[in-house]
Amino acid sequence: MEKTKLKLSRRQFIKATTAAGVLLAGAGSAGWVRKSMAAGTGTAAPPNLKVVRTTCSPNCTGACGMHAMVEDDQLKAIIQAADYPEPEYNPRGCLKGLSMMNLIYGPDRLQTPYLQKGKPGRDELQKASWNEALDFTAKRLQEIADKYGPESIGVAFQVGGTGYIQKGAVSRLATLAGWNLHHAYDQNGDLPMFWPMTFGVQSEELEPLEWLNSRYVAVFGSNILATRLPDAHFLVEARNRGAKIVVFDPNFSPTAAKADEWVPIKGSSDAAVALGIAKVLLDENRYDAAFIRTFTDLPLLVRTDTGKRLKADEVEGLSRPADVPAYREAFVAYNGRLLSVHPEKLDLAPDVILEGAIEVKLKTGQSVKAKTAFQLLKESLNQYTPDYVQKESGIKPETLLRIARDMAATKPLHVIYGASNYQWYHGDLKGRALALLPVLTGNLGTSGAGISTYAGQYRIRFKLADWWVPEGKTQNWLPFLYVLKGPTPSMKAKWPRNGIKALIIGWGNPLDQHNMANKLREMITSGELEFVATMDFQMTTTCRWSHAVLPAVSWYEKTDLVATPVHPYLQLQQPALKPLYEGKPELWIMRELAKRLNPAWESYFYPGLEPDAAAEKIIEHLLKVGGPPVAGITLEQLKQGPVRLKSEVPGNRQIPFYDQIRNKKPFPPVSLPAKIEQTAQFVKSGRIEFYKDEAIFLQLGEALPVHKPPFEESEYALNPKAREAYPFTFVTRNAIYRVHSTHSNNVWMNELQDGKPHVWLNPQDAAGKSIHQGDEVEVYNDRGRMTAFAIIDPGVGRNVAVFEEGWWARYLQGASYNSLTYPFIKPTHEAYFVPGMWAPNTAWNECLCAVRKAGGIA
Amino acid sequence: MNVPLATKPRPLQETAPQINRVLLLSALVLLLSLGAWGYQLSQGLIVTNMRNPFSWGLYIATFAFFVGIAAGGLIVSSSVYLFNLEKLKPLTRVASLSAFASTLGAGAMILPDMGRIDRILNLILHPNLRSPLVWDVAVISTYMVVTFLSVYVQLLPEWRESGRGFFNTWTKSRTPEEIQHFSKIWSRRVAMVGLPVAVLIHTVTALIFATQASRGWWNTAILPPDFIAVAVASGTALVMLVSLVVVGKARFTEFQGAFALLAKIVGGALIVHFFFVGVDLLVHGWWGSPESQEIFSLLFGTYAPVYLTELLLPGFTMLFFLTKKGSSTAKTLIFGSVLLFIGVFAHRLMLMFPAFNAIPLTLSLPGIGMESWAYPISVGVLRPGLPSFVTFWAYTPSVFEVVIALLPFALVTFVIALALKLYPFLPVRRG
Amino acid sequence: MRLGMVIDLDKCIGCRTCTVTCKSHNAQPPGIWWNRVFTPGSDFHQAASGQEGHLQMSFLPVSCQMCDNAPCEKVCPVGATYTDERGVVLVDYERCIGCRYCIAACPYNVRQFNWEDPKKAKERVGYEKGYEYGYPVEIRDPDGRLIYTPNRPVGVAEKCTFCFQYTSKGELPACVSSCPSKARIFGDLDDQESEVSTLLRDRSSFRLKEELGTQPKVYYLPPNKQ
Ligand SMILES: Nc1nc2c(c(=O)[nH]1)N[C@H]1C(S)=C(S)[C@@H](COP(=O)(O)OP(=O)(O)OC[C@H]3O[C@@H](n4cnc5c(=O)[nH]c(N)nc54)[C@H](O)[C@@H]3O)O[C@H]1N2
Ligand SMILES: Nc1nc2c(c(=O)[nH]1)N[C@H]1C(S)=C(S)[C@@H](COP(=O)(O)OP(=O)(O)OC[C@H]3O[C@@H](n4cnc5c(=O)[nH]c(N)nc54)[C@H](O)[C@@H]3O)O[C@H]1N2
Ligand code: SF4
Ligand code: SF4
Ligand code: SF4
Ligand code: SF4
Ligand code: SF4
Ligand SMILES: [Mo]
Repeated sequence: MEKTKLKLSRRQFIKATTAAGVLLAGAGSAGWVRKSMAAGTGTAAPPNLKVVRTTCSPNCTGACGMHAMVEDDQLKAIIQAADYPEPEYNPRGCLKGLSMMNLIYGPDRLQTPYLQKGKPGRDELQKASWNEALDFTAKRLQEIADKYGPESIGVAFQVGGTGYIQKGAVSRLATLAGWNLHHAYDQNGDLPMFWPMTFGVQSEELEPLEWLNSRYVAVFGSNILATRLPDAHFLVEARNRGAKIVVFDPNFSPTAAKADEWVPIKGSSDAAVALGIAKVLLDENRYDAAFIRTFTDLPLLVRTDTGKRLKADEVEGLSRPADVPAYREAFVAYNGRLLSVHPEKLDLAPDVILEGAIEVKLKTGQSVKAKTAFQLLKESLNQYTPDYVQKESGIKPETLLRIARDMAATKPLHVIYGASNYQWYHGDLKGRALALLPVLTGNLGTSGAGISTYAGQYRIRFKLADWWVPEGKTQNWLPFLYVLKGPTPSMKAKWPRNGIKALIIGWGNPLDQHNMANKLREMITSGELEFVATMDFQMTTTCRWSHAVLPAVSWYEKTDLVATPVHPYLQLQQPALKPLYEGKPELWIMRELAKRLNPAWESYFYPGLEPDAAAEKIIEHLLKVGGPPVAGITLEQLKQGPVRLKSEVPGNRQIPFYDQIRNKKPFPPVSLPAKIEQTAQFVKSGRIEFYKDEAIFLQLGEALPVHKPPFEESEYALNPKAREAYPFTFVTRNAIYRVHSTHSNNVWMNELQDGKPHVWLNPQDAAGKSIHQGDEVEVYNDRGRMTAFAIIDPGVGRNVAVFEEGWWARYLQGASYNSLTYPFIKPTHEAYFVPGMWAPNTAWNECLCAVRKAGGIA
Repeated sequence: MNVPLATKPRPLQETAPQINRVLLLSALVLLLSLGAWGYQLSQGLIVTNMRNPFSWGLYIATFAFFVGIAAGGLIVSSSVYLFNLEKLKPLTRVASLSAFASTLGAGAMILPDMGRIDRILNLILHPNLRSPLVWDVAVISTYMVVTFLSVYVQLLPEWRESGRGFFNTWTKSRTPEEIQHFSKIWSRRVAMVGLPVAVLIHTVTALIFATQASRGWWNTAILPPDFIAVAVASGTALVMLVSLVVVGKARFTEFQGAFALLAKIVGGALIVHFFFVGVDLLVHGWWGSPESQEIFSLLFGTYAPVYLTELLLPGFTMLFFLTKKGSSTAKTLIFGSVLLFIGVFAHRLMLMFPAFNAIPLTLSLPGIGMESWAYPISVGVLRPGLPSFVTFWAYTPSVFEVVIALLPFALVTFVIALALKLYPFLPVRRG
Repeated sequence: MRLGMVIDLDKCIGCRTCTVTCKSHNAQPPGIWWNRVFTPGSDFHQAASGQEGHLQMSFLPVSCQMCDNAPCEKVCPVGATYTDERGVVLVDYERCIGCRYCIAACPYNVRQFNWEDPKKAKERVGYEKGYEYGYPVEIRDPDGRLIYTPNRPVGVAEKCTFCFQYTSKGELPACVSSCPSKARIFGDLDDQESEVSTLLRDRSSFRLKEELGTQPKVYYLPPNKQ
């Protein structure tokens, strides 16, 4: 190709460089684009460069605005757009996003559709034309729907926030056809189930800009320096502005290294730590009684005989106020008199007792003993003495006391609860315990305060139903863990009568990422899964195991609308390139499939419009009907750059429960896409609930947040021998080099990590097994095995094998690292099932293994 | 004065018929390495095992080796005039020839090391006068001219007589005596000019390394004088070897005195060399900085075999040549010289190993008890399964590199053999 | 004018974004990296060093230090390496003879060599046929020297140019504009008002291997937390 050539004349050079002095001071990177395009002026041929503003949209929550530098329809370089109105947010981006060209033009890029004529995973895929592939896929889906019912077709299409339009097209067709949808949040393990249990919401978080306003940040197992790359600087800045940053993590992570203090704790012992701190807060009267009285269920009375909360309706002389909606409940408090507590009015007299037990006369004439939830909590906390906490977690008593007192004394306090930390069997308990810290100290609903979970791109930001759900239709949701594990007796979701016989996959690579205990491979090999169709733009492990591979396009090649929770901006994905090869946007693929399944369905997908034009139409419509968060935002605005979503907080800041706390509105706020009655029924008191009296909670002894050591109810219950056989915990954390399995094959990322997967081990553990730096190591258990190369790191806790998840099987000698993990389902999660919202969450780290030098003997 | 000729001066061909075989062999090797070089030109220096962390290797070591042995020639012939070493006089032609050939070899070796041989003229078009490399190019070119002239003026009388040689038409109009005289005067003059140039090529070649503060192993003022000492030793040894060939078994005793003297020069130069080595190690080691510890661990750990070769073989030769036994037979002289060459070659290789594998950007990290932590270097080439950043590059020359590095060996052998075949290098026996 | 850079190690989160942007915007062939970020003391980036109870992890980006007294420039036999009027040390890809003296001379190991034709290296990676990444325009300095080309000639040395293609037009280098932590500050060291000068006045700073006298124009601010 003839290269454009550029020679600066001396005058230009000097002029530009003297200008530089002025510019460099304050320019930021915003002018970069214009400047580089102007480069050619005065020379032979101006470079034929085009710059497109778009959004990086993998499954990482970054949603970083990017400028794509394009020459002759080829992506040459990417740089952050850095055009957010708050300069603090600029520039957003990371090494992966800035090297996307390696995936777009790389050797694994899908060029055509493929069909599997033989055995998936074993035989080669055959190239096919779009017509062949679509006809075949439609035919197989039709056959399976006819034979087993459409609900036996499962659709795994990953999280919405990274592209509402294209993913919406999948949801739309799945809903029309009556297929089952597998929600991504629980599938990924990103759904922190303590949220619905405690606050009645799906998940909430401070936007990172708010970190700057915190004075104390307690990070429990969130590796912000790796997993919130574009936001990590806020943590460092907060620290430099005087906030105290304390990181609780079994491993000395980069985040721990930047913090004021690293508190090493044993795996999944966070609840013990939190409860130990809570005990100090209560014992030393370092709590905010007014806040607790106003906003929590702790003043409410609980019957000691049944463990149930006392309902106003039960008590003699009390009644449930008439205006209490059916999904709420009026409970009872005491201030010398018994009070019926209205669940939608957050005001209790200041003399309402927090501590104590009283006899209560019921309408039945029976007299029962009742204690405040606060009293019960206090009693329950008795167990969490500093010594006990030390035994469970490893924290020294004096450290615990110091931290507890510090936390109580420093406002605003912000607790960050990492996904990795709640991806354990008792993730819900840990979250409930951690939530005590900000709540007991009254740190909620204000700037820089609260508790946040930062995971993948969960949570829907505005109303999408008009596009995602065709009018008058309802969706079938089946939590993914059931696909792997089969139905359980306690499940609330509807199990399709013939099970799941086919999968349609998009935006995900479950054969690496969700193949727990090798189940997906087995299901495909055995024929239990009769058909798998995957849309991706790369030949992933999942594509290799599919019957039909439908080449999609990357986010640089199509139009979409993006709004992730952590970054409160609405942004466009604008195509910077024409689709490469035969790739097609999903909207197009869905339209073509719909047409083949049922000619009438084509009309649901804007027939006759090019996918990009159709997408713009849909965006315009959704902006109109999307509700308050997007009110007034237009497509034209979005084409110019990012637009902040609206919220009730001044400056449209994202501060959870702002309205609840400031205006004493009942909990929960609305969690989209569910209706309030669906979610509020789980926090019937309208308050922050620490006391859960559903049968299963009482039965498991989890009515109040407690600490339960890991593995007892999971691994050891499954296989008691595991206690001896598998002494290591398999912690699978995220790497800066990948977004899960995306970028697994990015050549530059691999150059930066010696081109091979690693497993981190503590020096003492390694020495005991004669494992040295760089040795090939085998990590295995009953269910599976994988090999990686040892990194001996004194920052890794004892008996932990840390693996940076996301490697394609091809880098692991064909094995799936998730063949070691297991789809545990915790019944308390099942109790909180709301279709398309809440479901049993995956516990990746609840996994035991053994480690040995590869080739050696155990 | 007329020197009576006992026998007609004869080129070597009649005394040593194996010369044809040597010629053929060296020509073949020459072609082979030229072929390998051709391949390298088409592929780039990737065919070598040099990489960013180890950017100079066998080629530069071989270059330095040939620069070293190139010196000996002129040092021998100049000292004949300077110190009136009459004994050595008969060997001055051989000395000049070996010097010239070695210089050619050195020059030839440097070419394949260049990434862009096509731009070699830039050295003349855009020389950077601050660069020791430019000084080296200048002195080596000068030395090449000087050694060539030295050979030329010494051969002229014979050429005048036999009508052979080149650039000699002008001699036709002169009498043999005039030419004889001319040769004598100019041999002396050239040798006198040559001596400082010979010293310079070592100094400057050593300066290429010694100026570089980034490499602790090189950055010492001892390097240039030590280069000279080694050059005197190895260069003299080469003169000795070639002379032994020229003299042949038959006439060995006739020149025994000369050989013994040469052996003494070698031994003496080695004493000086070892003195420098000792001082250098002492200076590196005494202060005990992490950098020097690193170098020591490379010298006596990783590269101990090569380093011991460098120390022990020449050490042996030194002692051996200073004894009567060692310096008195052709066999022992050859033996000692060969050991010396191997040792000197190891010495040249050892210029590279500790210099490159003691990474310049090494940091002390007191907080964590880390004395020296080497900042990883990008390799420069991506190969699946191999890291892109390293703190150590286990350099061993590739096969191509070895074959290409044979180029100067073949060239030097070829030139010397051809010259010996064509022209007489030994003055005839006096009657 | 003397362009320089300040890298705030306190802010640096070791994310290696600068490493990658540098690579892509400057079209560095596979295996070649002008800009590295490592964790001093560890064999592997972002692994801890030290002993239990005294663990440590900090990050150190290193690219060309733009030495005022640049050994690479002094040794270059043909003047292919030179310092322009803004104090930026550059390599003329058309003049370099590939002697690699500069690589031996540079104390910071930032110099890279094109051991093979980059096109072949890219082919091995398996990019789409003919695909080339990086700033797509060839750039020459006012004297016509070839400072940047997206497809590097085989057999020449290369290194950081302070993003000549951008900074010569008054823009920031790619590593500076892409650093999500804003740990890199770029500007004119001669200008007392520039951010770099201000920072160097207000904060303590150091340079790498200062004892060698190379006088780098890249300065580091130490991590606050030690
Ligand atoms: N670069 C990058 N960023 C990402 C992603 C990515 O793939 N790559 N993925 C995104 C997504 S989808 C998600 S869900 C998030 C995940 O983000 P994170 O929650 O930060 O996830 P991890 O990296 O898995 O783990 C963080 C830390 O948790 C610690 N940890 C593990 N178990 C425990 C425990 O029981 N207690 C405590 N206290 N600590 C524990 C680990 O040691 C580790 O240091 O990252 C998001 N960001
Ligand atoms: N053991 C273990 N397993 C884990 C985790 C763990 O910590 N440990 N983490 C879990 C978590 S938190 C998560 S979020 C999941 C993530 O797991 P996945 O959701 O499977 O995420 P990725 O691996 O990034 O796969 C995304 C795929 O979508 C493709 N893709 C990207 N953009 C598009 C597009 O526009 N269209 C289409 N059709 N395809 C596209 C990419 O090429 C890539 O193959 O993994 C989970 N798995
Ligand atoms: S991968 Fe994530 S963090 Fe990185 S640029 Fe893309 S969206 Fe941002
Ligand atoms: S991009 Fe910034 S924060 Fe990241 S490694 Fe480079 S200098 Fe450090
Ligand atoms: S860092 Fe190295 S390449 Fe850069 S100017 Fe200094 S010596 Fe030259
Ligand atoms: S490799 Fe090129 S730039 Fe480096 S010194 Fe040699 S000629 Fe100069
Ligand atoms: S200034 Fe440009 S060339 Fe230099 S390290 Fe930064 S990005 Fe790379
Ligand atoms: Mo996730």
